[in-house]
Amino acid sequence: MRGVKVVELAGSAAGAYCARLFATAGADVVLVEGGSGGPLRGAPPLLEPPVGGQPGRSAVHEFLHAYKRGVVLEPDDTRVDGLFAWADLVISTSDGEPDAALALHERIAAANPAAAHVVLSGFGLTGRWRTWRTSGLVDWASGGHLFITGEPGREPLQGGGPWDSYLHGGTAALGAQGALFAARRTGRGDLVDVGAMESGAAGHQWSITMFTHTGVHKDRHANRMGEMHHPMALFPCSDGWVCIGAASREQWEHLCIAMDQVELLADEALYSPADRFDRADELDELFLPWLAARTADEVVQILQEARVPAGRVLTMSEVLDDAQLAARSYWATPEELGLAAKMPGVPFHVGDDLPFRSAPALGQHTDEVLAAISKSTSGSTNAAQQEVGR
Amino acid sequence: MKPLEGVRVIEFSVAWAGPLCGRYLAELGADVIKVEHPTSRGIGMSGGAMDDSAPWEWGTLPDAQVRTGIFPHAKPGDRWWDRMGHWNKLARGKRSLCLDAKAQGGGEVLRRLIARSDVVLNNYSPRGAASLGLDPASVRAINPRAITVSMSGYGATGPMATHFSWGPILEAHSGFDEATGYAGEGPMRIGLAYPDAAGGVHGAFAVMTALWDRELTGEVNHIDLSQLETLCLMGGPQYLATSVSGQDPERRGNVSLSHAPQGVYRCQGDDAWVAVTVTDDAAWSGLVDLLERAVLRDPALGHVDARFAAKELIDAEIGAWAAGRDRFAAAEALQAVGVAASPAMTNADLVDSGQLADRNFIATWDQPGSGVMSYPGTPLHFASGGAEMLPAPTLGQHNEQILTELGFDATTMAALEADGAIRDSPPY
Repeated sequence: MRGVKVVELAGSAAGAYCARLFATAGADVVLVEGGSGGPLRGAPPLLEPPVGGQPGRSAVHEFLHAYKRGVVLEPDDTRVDGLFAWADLVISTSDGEPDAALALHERIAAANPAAAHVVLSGFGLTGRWRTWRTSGLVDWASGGHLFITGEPGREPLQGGGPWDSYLHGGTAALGAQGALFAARRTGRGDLVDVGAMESGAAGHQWSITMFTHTGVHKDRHANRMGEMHHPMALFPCSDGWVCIGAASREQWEHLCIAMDQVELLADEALYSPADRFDRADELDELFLPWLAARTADEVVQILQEARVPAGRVLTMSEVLDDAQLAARSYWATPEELGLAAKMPGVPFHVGDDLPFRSAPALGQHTDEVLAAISKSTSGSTNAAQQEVGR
Repeated sequence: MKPLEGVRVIEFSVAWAGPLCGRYLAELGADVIKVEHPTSRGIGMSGGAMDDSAPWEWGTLPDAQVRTGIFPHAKPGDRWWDRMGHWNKLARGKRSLCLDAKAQGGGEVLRRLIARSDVVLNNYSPRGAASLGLDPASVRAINPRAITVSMSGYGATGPMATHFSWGPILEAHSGFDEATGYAGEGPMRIGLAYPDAAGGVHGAFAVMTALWDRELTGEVNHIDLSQLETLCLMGGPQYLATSVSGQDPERRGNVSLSHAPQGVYRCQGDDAWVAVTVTDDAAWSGLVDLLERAVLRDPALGHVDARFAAKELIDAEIGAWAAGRDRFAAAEALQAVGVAASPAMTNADLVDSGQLADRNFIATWDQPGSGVMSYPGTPLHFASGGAEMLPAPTLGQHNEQILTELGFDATTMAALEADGAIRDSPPY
């Protein structure tokens, strides 16, 4: 998204993730915070504890705001309108305040009718729940992913991070891109309204269609892939856990051969993945002793050689040392955060490599950005083309 | 005019991530042609007519032999490959060309398709993509302006480039399963193939990024997208914190690192739950007023640190309050006092949701071969106009239309059909 100018009004993690995608795709993203800093600067996990009334150093801030520039301007400062006039895209968030979001949109449109504006909220800007507030956990719950995670009969579980909020940010980024493409043709910015509830609901596998087509309520199935497949599950080995997924007919055959269970091949019903799910307890009784006699690495090697998808269950520490990610230069290494510090850098590469840029200190680029804007004469999307052409 | 109108995409994909990527592009107006091998629909399903004679009632799990297809009313019908609910959800708005590119004449069809495409998208393994000539060098030799996007599990390079994977295996590899779970217990997977949802969204973002760059700079890019890497992006802060502290994230059930109280509380009814987060001190005051419990009026609990320390007490109070309430009524009452809350929405709740109905999220259309059915719609709401929900194609539905566009005459089309390069059903 080179040449695109993005103004991010500091808000939720979802909004920051959306903006980070644009930043790592080459856009010039300016984070606008008030004088006391945006809400993510103190968000845990912390890399350094709070000292003397100052918030600690937040891993959330350092990751989500990397690759961006940062300015300090209070929301009612008229120079914010100058930023809107400069921008091709404004990213804002709303926690149950749709009227304020719509008023902001009018202000943006007044400053720059060509600017696209995406608003991320928990439940969207319309509908009977438009004033509802959200959180990482509520995002998991509203879109339906919470209910189907965890053990049947027990409390449903969120994922081990606010990943549905980030999925929301990614989904909103698609709407923002759509609005940018449209604006380039029409010269008019659009308002894009993307709620976490729908981002989650749109991210279901077969859950919703299972209900509309057969009336079946989807349940939780712990570490098995409910209703449809087995094995597509986590299993303990002698020294850890593996995930094994045999979905196709060939994968099932190869699995049985690799695990010395060739007699199962005579059972025609087991070629149906759903039949294997219904008989998962019976099958696991056969699989588990074989797995318990081997390390996770041995299991993965044997199964992958047999063309059966399988992989180890890694801790995050192990992921940081993972040879695959290292070989692809996946990690950015912000040394100012510690000699061992690593974070995901650019998720995919389009064009030249993008150098890492640390998250901005509060107001780090205020003067630089405001000076550049004062020279800018146009907020139209053509400015993006001029910039690239220079 | 839709944002991507005029953009031509050919999609070679299986499972979920690639189709989801293509669906977002179609929804934004691209002409997405799903190029399908005759036997590619339905993972783990094969053969012709299915036995659907087992008795079945609405609302009960269909017999295992027909379950995976998610057929309307559990009936596969004669052309079961056109009636798979999950498949049709992912293919809405696309066109279908059913092509065996390795049959006589199939290579020429593929060549002409590539020659007029803006984007060649695949989520095959790198080896599989190359065997069909979808690798960047082969595509560029035909069409130097075609953007190529490969969405493999681990990426096209590195020691695991040739590993076989499904979404759950990538999730295990990411550390997400190790971070998820009940406190003090083992790792837990998320209840869907989460990396596919993430991969589809990030894949579409990557495609539009490459299109934007091509329009502005003329550069034509190949994107080697690893679904492992797009998933890991969503764990960014956790990897960073782990790298600095040396401590892996603890499995902590539904507890928050920053907010207290937070939890999932049982409500009235079978397996009914409400998720609650008090995100600030004002919300705490609202909760205290709502619950009307003297024990919670302790001013010390006005600070989040004290609320973390008093977790058991507060959870018990919220739990007792929620236990006698309907989950929707509980969430509504909490939201009314400024507390973030939602029922733990089931699939049925989502379909019946008033909020989603207000926003036209659940979409209904007459799906060829299936009849009028409902599906999840779009989360992208543009003020200038709603996305049009178009049906998914039946297998090979657009063969003739697309072959005509590619300049094939009737005689050649007939030969392609006779040679099995073009079909509208699997060869079962």
